[in-house]
Amino acid sequence: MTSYIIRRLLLMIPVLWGVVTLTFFLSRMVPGDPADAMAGQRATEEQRQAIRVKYGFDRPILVQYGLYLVRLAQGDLGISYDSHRPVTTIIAERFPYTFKLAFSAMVLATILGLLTGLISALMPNSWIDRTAMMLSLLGISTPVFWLGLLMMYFVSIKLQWLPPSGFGNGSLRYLVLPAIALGTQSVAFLARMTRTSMLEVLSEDYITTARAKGMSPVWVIGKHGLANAIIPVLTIIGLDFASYLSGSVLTETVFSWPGLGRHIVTAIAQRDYPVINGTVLFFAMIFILINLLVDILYAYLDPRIRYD
Amino acid sequence: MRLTTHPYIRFGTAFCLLLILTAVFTPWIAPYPPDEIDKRARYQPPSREHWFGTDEVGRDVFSRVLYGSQISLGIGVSTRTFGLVIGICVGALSGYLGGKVDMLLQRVIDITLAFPFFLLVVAIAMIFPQGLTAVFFSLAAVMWAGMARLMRAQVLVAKNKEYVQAAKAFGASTPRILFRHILPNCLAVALIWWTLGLAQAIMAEAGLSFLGLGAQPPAPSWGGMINYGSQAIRVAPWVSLFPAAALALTVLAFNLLGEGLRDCLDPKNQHHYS
Repeated sequence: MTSYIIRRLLLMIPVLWGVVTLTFFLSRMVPGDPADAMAGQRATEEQRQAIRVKYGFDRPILVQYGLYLVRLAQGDLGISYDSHRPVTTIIAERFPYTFKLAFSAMVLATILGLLTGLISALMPNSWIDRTAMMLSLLGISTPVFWLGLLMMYFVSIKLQWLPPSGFGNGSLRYLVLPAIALGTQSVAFLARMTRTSMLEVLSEDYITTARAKGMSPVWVIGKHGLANAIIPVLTIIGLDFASYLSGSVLTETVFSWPGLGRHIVTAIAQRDYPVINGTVLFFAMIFILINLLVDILYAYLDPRIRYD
Repeated sequence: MRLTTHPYIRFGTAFCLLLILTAVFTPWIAPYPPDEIDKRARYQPPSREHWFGTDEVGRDVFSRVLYGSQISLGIGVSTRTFGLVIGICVGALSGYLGGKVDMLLQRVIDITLAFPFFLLVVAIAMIFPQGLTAVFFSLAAVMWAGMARLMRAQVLVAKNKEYVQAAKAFGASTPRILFRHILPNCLAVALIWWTLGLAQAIMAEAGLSFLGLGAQPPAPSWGGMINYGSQAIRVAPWVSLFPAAALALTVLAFNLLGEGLRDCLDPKNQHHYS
């Protein structure tokens, strides 16, 4: 197990380096002179030149790349063109909102998804099962705009039950709609995964044995069934959480949620490249790290898996 | 289950055909041109003249939704097909040649797949002037990787099968073995990948246009219409809800078709189609 973790961590290095390099060169390929954007429209040529020298834009691209790596190693992601604040500060301010939304969506998705999948698996091909699976296919196919706008219109504007958008004073009421909009696809996917996995486990010999021994059905399903069926489902929960943390861009935009995903959209509109670049990099790192954690957890939970 | 009787495939195919016909015949079906402005008819609710109502400058939402299908389908089919061709070539080479080429290509694929999908698309779209070109290249640049990985796995399995060994023994050239003997056996997997991802591509196009990085106004893209419409959702919900519904239905239809194909052609669900 330890050697597996070490090997995975080592394998991560070239991927992380590739991600850093790709983000750097992508940000240098965007049209326009960054010094112009930083200095603003009224700046003189001297001011622009001063900025070019300060940030190294006048140096060869490979030197710039080297400087970028050095700054990155020091935890410096640059300064926002727009607000002139460090990108790391912006990320630290905004990320907690993204985390709150992602976490709520995941809790919701886990509870509803597991329950639906379990019920479906226990009554395969019944009308409940068929309805649940049809609904979950609908859920997987629902673009977040559609569900988000529908809920916003009917629940907030027509019925006035919940606030339509924003963060307000931070009360849970503001969180409900965005969390549902974000979590729906996961509910649907988890329900299907749980069902498939549970049905597979329930057809195993050890379940028949447990039943034949005269164990109570609840015990058989809980101890022998669910405990084994849940492992692949946990992976999906982890992967979905990773993708929610790394940018629920659309959901945050639809609901004006003040997270990092929405901030990157504002940065795109303003062509604020250090913020875009830093945020993309940050999101990619989170995504990779959680994926790795999920893999390790998977290997730990299911000793049958051997990563050689 | 058979291809012709699977309910998902039946429903999916029917709807997809309807969608393709709509996209092709839009200029003849649409009651108004997509960019005909009528300032006296701003924000009209759905009526007999305007089935889906009108938008902020009095354009007919129904006509714009119909024209939007051309953009969505066009981008979906073109990026998916491009990704398929590149993915097949890269995956086949990587799997068949092995060695250093394989090692290098695998790292490129790893890095591409290490990014959250939509985020990388956004980051790449930034380097192009805003418009459908940006959408095409950013989606194409990301989507080939999944196919390449899938293809490589297929080739690795097929490489050691007897029929390939036999072809080799008869002195067949590498391209001949790849294209005549290995590829035809991977077609089912490629078809499922293409269809399942079409929904993803269409959603990503809408997402980019929603963020203002894709089709530029006044182009009638669904994402753009949802973006502008959602700003007026209190007074005129139809401006955003109808294009959003069209998008949702389209995505559902392609997902149904893809899932049905997977059920029939890959019943054990052995592959990870992403």
